[in-house]
Amino acid sequence: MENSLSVNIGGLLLQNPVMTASGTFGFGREFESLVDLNRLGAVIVKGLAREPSPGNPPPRIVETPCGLLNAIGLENIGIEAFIKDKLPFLAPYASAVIVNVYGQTPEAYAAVAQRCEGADGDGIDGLEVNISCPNVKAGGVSFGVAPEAAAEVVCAVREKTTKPLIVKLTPNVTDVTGIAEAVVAAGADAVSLINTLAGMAIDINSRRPKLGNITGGLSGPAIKPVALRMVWEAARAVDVPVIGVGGISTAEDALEFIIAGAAAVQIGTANFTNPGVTMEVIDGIRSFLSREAIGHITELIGTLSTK
Amino acid sequence: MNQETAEILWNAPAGASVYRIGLSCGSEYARADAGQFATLRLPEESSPLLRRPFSIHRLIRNDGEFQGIEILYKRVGEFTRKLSQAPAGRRIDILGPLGKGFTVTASIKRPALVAGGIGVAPMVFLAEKLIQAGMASDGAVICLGGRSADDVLCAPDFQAMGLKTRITSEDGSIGEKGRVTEALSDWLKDHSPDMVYACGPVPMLDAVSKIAEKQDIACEVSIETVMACGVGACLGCAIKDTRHQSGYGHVCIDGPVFNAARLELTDRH
Repeated sequence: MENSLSVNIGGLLLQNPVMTASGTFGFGREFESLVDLNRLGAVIVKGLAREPSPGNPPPRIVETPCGLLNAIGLENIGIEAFIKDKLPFLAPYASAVIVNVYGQTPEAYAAVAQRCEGADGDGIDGLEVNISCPNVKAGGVSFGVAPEAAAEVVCAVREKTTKPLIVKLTPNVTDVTGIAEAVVAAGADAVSLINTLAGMAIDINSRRPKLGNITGGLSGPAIKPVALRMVWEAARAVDVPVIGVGGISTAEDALEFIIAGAAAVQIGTANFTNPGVTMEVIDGIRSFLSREAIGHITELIGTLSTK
Repeated sequence: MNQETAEILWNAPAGASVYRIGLSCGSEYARADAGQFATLRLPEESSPLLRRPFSIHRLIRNDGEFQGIEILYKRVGEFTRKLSQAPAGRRIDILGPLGKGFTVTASIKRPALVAGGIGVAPMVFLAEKLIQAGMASDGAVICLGGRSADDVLCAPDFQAMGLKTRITSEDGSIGEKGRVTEALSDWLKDHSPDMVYACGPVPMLDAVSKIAEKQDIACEVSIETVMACGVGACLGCAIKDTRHQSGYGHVCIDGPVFNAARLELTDRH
């Protein structure tokens, strides 16, 4: 495990800091022939709830300048089907497996976390609690915009899990540091940010929204500067590892987040445009460290100079 | 399925705003099914962001040896405008073959193929596959339709293969004046196909599937939607699918070819 790229994310040891963002990499198998699943830091699987759910009516995606607006609506197979049908494929790979969890109530989140504690959940290395999806009415983002509600969910999950616990934050707030501090106080081992920015697009001819859900979440290169700013703010506010997410499509993008204070990164929309992107980012980070004569990635984290 | 960098072998106009592009991709495509697709990206271009899906038009063989695939495309937006300007010799990022294609078996002897406009793209490959599977080419009919003569494509390809062709245009500038669905209905007066295959705009597919259902003929339709990943990860290309547990199927992995009976097409247009 020890190499120039290894990182420790709140007790979760990763062979490198490159993860796949939830909802952009399925359950790993979809990318089996496109990516070496043994080389990723972690695979964060599609968000899972206690029960399966169908997701939003189509159209679910629309491209906007340098970005992707989606309203998938957390279509999910449920934690039980994941553990039975998906985990046995993914668990043997060297990449860590992180389950992204969502629910309608704190208890529903906790139930998913508890289910992951079973012997058949051994292959699950950590949890990422999603309190930031903008596309479902109940649950999701309603917990992520108020410190007290966010803390309540995290406390409920913390009680039921022994695994490293990451909390994924929404950018759709005035001050992300207050939310970050609240979830860390409630027991989060790390925070990841940002989830998508709430947005919409309109067809002027039909005067109808371009998404079935009317509004959606914006991802892709368009949101990278916003994500970078929020990661920088969060990294200065909390003393747990921060995971940078938002518009990363090259090693240079990932390095910007690491310099801003991210201990690891997640790659999302870029998996759609360039399925092999994660391998390129890992190789590019390694080359950069070598070129800059940096012995270990941790020496680069949070080294932004503002003088 | 794999992602590779293919060389553009040719990229030439094939009609009004329509082009044929030849790509030197790997031998995995030699085993592709008719109706499967690939997604393309121009490596030097940052816009548009998403890859664009195209059905396989035909396989390119030289003395029987597999050389690559040909895609038939219409210039409609930013990506296809940039694609139409890409010269032979340039490299292009291609991901495929993807999705589930048309059902082709030796038992299909007298199918009706129905294509609207650029929806003809997978039909040439399908006709080739059916003939390879043992269909006598004069047992099949292809109904080709479009708004005007410019939208009716590939008729000589089907005629060269020996298929019966029925051509319609909405403005009467080529073939019979009318819709392609009327040509299908006409055909059904004296013939009983063992399968209807269709590709084109959703309202056309809806009409074709209703005609087939009324006559109790199996019908497969190829659906085009916006998609992001093409591999079943993003779940963005959802379509109402009565056979799918969640109520939604996904065009990229459950399709793009579906048994029409399982889809609810009416509310999509």
